[in-house]
Amino acid sequence: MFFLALVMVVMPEDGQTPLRRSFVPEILVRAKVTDVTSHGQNWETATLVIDHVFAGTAKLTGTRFRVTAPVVMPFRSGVYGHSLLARFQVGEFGVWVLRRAKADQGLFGGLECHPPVEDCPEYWWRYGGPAPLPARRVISSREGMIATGRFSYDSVLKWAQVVQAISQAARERQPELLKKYSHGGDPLIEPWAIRVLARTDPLAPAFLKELAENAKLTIPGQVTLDSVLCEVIKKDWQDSALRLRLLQGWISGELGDDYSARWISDRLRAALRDRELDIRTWLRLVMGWITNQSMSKSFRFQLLNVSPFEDLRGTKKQNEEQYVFDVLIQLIRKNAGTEVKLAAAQLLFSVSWNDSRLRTVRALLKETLEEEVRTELRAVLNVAEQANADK
Amino acid sequence: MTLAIIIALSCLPELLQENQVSVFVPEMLVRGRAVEVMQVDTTHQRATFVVEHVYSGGAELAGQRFTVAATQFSQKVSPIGVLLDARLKNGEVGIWVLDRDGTSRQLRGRIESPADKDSLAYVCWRYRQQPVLPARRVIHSLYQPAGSIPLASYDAVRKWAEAVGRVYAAGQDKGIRLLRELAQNGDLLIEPWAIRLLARNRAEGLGSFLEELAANDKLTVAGQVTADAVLAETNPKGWQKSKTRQKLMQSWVNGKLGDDLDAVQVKARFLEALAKKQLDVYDWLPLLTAWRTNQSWSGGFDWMLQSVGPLNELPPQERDKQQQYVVDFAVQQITQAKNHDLKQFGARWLFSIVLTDAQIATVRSLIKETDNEDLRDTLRAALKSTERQKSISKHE
Repeated sequence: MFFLALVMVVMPEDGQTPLRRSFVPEILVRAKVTDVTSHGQNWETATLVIDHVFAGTAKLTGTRFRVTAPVVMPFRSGVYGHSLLARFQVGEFGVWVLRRAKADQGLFGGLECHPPVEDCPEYWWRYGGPAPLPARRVISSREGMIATGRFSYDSVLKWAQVVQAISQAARERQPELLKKYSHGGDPLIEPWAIRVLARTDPLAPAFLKELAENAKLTIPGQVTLDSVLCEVIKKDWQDSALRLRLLQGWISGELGDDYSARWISDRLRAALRDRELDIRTWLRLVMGWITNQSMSKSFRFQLLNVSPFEDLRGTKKQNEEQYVFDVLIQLIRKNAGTEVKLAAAQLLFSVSWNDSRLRTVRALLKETLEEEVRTELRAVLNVAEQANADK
Repeated sequence: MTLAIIIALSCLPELLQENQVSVFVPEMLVRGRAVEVMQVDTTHQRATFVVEHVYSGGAELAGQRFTVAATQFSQKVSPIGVLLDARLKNGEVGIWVLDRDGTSRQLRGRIESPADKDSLAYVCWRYRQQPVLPARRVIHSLYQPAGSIPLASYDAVRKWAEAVGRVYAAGQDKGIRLLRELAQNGDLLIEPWAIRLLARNRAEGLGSFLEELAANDKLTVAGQVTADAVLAETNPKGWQKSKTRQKLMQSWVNGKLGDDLDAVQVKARFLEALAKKQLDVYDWLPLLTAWRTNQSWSGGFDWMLQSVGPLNELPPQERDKQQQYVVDFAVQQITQAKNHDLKQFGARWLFSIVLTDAQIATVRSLIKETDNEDLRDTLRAALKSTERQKSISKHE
């Protein structure tokens, strides 16, 4: 009941979501599959009965709902987020978010938010990667392959229990609990609590700024914090020294796992796209990261796989392009490491071309000794010359 | 003299032998920082590291230098020897096992080949199926390469290395007490290692301690599968048919596994136990059937779970008995199971057996009775497999 009140408070009157990636489930349950029907070769409909309510009215216990979905078949690509990696099975447990159909108010369990996936709050609460809900107690891995970043049933269950603890707390205690969970050390719960706190507590920004200095916060928590503060207090956070310290912590070379690296990579790309990070700072950060930490080629490629000038126009675009171009040339020219030079060469693909820039890169090619960098520069020149000729 | 030195010296020569209680005790385990990296050519690197911290080995190692020779991963280079998916870089920190060059006696950082499953790095974490050393503080990949499970992070390996350091520094009695704590500390790298080390050290009261552990439902699954493996090696008669073991294995198949990594480890343990005859078909087939009944899993996960173990290596009388049991169990599943996957499992078990004439007749009648085309195909293939095996035997 209290949680419903929280939902009412946080849903703005005009239906717009103030923090587009916060997620407060109206109905969150644990349910058991009681019946499975197959349709054709690869579609299944499961009937589930609710055996525990984490959020929503307790009266839902014992209520049934249905889910229909295709099963991933060998040699047939599934629709990401829509297909079942493991078939439904009678007796299977899962944590589900339920919604009510507009037509008849009947309950249904969604496997995904569609369309589009990016607007799905379940998806965004953890900043990209596979959506944690529904969390079915099944074995999803293919032979020996476990998807990176997929949360186990047990970890989602833990999060659901936190949702319940907050929903059952008195309304005035809820912010206090959210604060507690926002730095509890759980990579799934921290980002969720931070987002909900920012959405529900007007005093949250001051608390979150303090949190930014907490070195024990998980990387998912830190990334979420940055994203939330960019949305809530905008420029005051974006240009602050505190934020810069937080971001520099990510690129210091101290990261000890791939999973955290992926959160940061996603965050840097999204912040650039959403203009929460200017091109110059972004460039310093990514090049700093590549300087400070060794990374695989595939990771580096994804990190730099951006179009930084796409939304810029006129003089602003010219200035920024020229700035980035000059920095990249400097990085290749001076005695930076091979990785940095390769990264700079990769970013050259994103600038637009004129005769002067072409000349500069041709001269650079003559000066460069490392074969790998030369190969990359030749590829840049091929594309640039073609683009210039087309123009 | 510390406990770890005694253990290291006594067990290293035996580490790679089959049927040993395998454990990895690094003689020299250090944290090092790269101070010089040379790109030999496009794909080869040679780096010099300085030891910043010693987890095991003499304290005099601190400040010494060691070298690493490595091949970077490249699609143009065949994966021979040592591969890096992230280049060595100046300033890079990592946890390394060291050894000495046979001739010059200079210190070297070891990188085991990922293909060498007998390498030291695998031994204590065999169910993880990933080499965990060296643990470099680098970013390996955005997406894990196909066919792999996530690498242990640098931070996770550092925790384990710290545990090694604590055990190394402790005396004999204190060391054993510490290992008993570590064997149930909730860390999926440390628990298996501590359990194996206790077993290797033949600690007093080991059997009862491990049986208590096996009954401790808070132990990680990584710890549970290791406890089972160790008990099956150290006390085969007492453990293999014990009620505690049955209960432990039932807990793996009751449908409550909520983590893919746990599932992969359980599968690896089952297959190993079958291969080492630590699990017979009388226990295995009901376990597998229960697992398949209680838990849903993705296509591909069941691949290899059709194995019924090396029946051919049994004495003839026992082999015939077990083969007949497999056929009877399979027929029961094919005719009575409601779940189609279980029927398929039953049919696949028949591939493991050279069927007798009577058994062939049974399978033929099953083919006639079934109306499922997939199942008929599998049963026909099982018959062909028998024909093929008989023909090979004739030629031999």
